[in-house]
Amino acid sequence: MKSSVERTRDLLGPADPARGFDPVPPHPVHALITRADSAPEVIVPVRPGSPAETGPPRTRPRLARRTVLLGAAAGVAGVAAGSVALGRVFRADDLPGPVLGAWGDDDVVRPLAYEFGDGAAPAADRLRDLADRITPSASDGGEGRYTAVRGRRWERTILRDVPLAQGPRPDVTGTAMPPSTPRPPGTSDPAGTASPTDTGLPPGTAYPTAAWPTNTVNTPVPPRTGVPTHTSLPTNTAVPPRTGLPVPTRTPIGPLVLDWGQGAGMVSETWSWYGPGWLAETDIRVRLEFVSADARQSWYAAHPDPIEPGRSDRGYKATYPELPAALARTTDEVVASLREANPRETVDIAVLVRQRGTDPAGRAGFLRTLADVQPHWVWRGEVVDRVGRTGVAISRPSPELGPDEPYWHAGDVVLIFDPASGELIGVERMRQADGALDEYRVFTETRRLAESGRTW
Amino acid sequence: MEPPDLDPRNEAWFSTIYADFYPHIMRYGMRRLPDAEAAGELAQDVFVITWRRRAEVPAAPLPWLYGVARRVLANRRRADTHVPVPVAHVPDRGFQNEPAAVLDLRAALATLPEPDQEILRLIGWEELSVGEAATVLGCSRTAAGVRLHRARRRLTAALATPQPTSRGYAVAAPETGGSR
Repeated sequence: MKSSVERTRDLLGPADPARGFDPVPPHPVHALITRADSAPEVIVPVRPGSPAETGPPRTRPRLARRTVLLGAAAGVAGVAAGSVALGRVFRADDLPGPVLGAWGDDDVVRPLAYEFGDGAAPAADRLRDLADRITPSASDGGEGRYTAVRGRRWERTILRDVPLAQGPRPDVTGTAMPPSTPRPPGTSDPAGTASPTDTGLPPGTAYPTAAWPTNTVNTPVPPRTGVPTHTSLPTNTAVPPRTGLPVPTRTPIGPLVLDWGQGAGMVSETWSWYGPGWLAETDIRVRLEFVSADARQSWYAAHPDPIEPGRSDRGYKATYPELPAALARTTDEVVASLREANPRETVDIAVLVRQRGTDPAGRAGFLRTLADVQPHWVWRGEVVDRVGRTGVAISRPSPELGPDEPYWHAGDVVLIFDPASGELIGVERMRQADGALDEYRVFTETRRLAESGRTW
Repeated sequence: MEPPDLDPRNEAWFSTIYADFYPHIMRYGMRRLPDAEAAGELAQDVFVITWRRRAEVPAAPLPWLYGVARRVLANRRRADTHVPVPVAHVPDRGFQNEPAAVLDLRAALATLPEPDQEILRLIGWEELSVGEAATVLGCSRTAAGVRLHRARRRLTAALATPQPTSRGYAVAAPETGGSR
């Protein structure tokens, strides 16, 4: 008779999600050792009130109408444009070159500029408008077995909850203007050193702090009025300042203000190929990206031999001969799944649509379905994202945040769409309580390809 | 610090550990995280810690490595950055026409308490012995055996109860997980 262990293996083995997965170690050992010897311990959890928590008190800021400018600014070209002939077969070499700026040029988080305020309108009708106006994008068309996706993802993960055991404290307030002085319109803050308010608190939180609205589905949406309301970016961006627009007071929050660690996050830039069935291949480049120039300076002062910026490591590789049922679903089926999803899963579905998405109708379906089934999203209007593209944003506070929940559960989400093609171009996640950025992602390319294998 | 050539726990030793066990740790992550990217991040963290704590690594490193991975995951879950997804949501990385029995099994597994799931995964997927699983879990061998017994009993009961086998939407492809 078989043992309990053997019977467990017989039963569970066929359901092993990693069955047949045989990855190759992607990182040179010395890179790991360098990281191990230079970065603080990764897994030290810090709870509120512990000595390691260095942020300001976490009272909930009053919501006010203001424009948000997150991070320092730098000029980056927008996504590569160009029409795509339907049915064309792309090869890896057809993929456009870098659109995110040279790697290593700039390791400070770039801004997200947008305006928000009290009484933001429900997003539903605006999403339907967007769906009605969708135009083809550069990603559309193309045939092939692979989908290539390019993007960046920044997470304040590895250093976020780390005690400041070594080196000088980061000077997150830097050498900015006096805190209570509004920055004159049009002046730039290229170093990202803008200060929090004189209380040390972030001056605003991006989203409503009350329980999220559940009764807004039938709320009349005021007609769209006039010009987009975001402020101009600092002058060193690729996006020209918009003259003639009212310039609201610009107040920096988010990554300029709060970071538990040393103002550093890890950004990874990836080219991924989704082949028949599963991830075929990913090239990943990873580096630190700081919330401000001051944070960078402090961090390097504390870590004289840090992770080498710009190091490129080959990603993992796995291939599968057949398409799993889950990934064989059509975009329409993915979109339909939105009707049953937990609101927390919405972002995953949005990203999945983007990754599969070379299909304007599918994108429109996503936007309409989102409008129908998740009325709690609010419209945030036009934004300029972290690689300089103009988009339109919707946001929602954390759906499961109860009054007694800890702040680290309060991940507010912003989804950014291309205003013409309706493609998801970015995702932002922040903590509601303090507006601090937890994560941003940008998507710059999605292409159907006949082959995989491009490397940097 | 000892001279490198006299220290067996040197870079060459680490290279061997890394090459030998990276696939195991990646698979561990793939079984508990929504995508390969997240699993890759987990593996990287595990081996960074392994280097830092190389003096503690036992002669049979795998259960120890799994234990590190388990704690990294637990910490990430606490930090709400990489919450492991229930098994039912783990993307199918297998092949087309996944047997209904597999879907049922995953759905049933997902209904169990996390400690039950973990002992079953460690035995059934990581293919550890009960003693090795005890090392990972930081409990005695006897306790691990009891846990396995109870978990198997609950799994059998869950399998006898019809479960929805999917959430009705395609699983997130790698690179997803934006809302974790």
